[in-house]
Amino acid sequence: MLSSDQEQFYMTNPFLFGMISWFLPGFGHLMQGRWKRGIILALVIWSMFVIAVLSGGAYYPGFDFKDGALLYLLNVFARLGNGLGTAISLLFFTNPPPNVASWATFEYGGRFLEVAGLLNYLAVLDAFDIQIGRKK
Amino acid sequence: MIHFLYLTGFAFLVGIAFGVFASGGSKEKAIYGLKIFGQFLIISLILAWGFYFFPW
Repeated sequence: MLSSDQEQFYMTNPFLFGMISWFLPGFGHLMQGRWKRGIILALVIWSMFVIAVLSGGAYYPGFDFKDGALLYLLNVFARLGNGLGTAISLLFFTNPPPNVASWATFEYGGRFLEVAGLLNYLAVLDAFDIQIGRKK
Repeated sequence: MIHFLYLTGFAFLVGIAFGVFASGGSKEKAIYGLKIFGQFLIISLILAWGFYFFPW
């Protein structure tokens, strides 16, 4: 059982809202009562994620860390922004089809997945700013 | 054609997200989102035509 102080801490902690917003895109805003903003962000980020996965983006860049560290790390950082989506893409899309890199949509999928993650980082900052009162 | 579709879809979704993050009322947000959408499309098409003349 939580005391009222603990309850207050969890209900107002901006870092908690940031974490929730990161793990489930749009959900942080929904918890703040920003329904319109939360639903729109969730739709945009999850749409980009689904398009990316269907386009083969989960297999991007298609080479190992030693073959191109900078591109690899940028990709990892960006796709980590997807929160739950990162786990989904890693768990269910680990074995690429042999010809995936030849798909016309392969590069686009990679970009969509990265940008979905980067947009979610912005959503996290937005939820954090709203929680601390820096943004309305 | 698929390249243009992806470009349009990308610009549309990013335009909406940036419109949501923008400050101001609903009208300002909508205008900002449309500007982002248009800028993505126009600049990408200009760059695409420009790159046509490069040998690589």
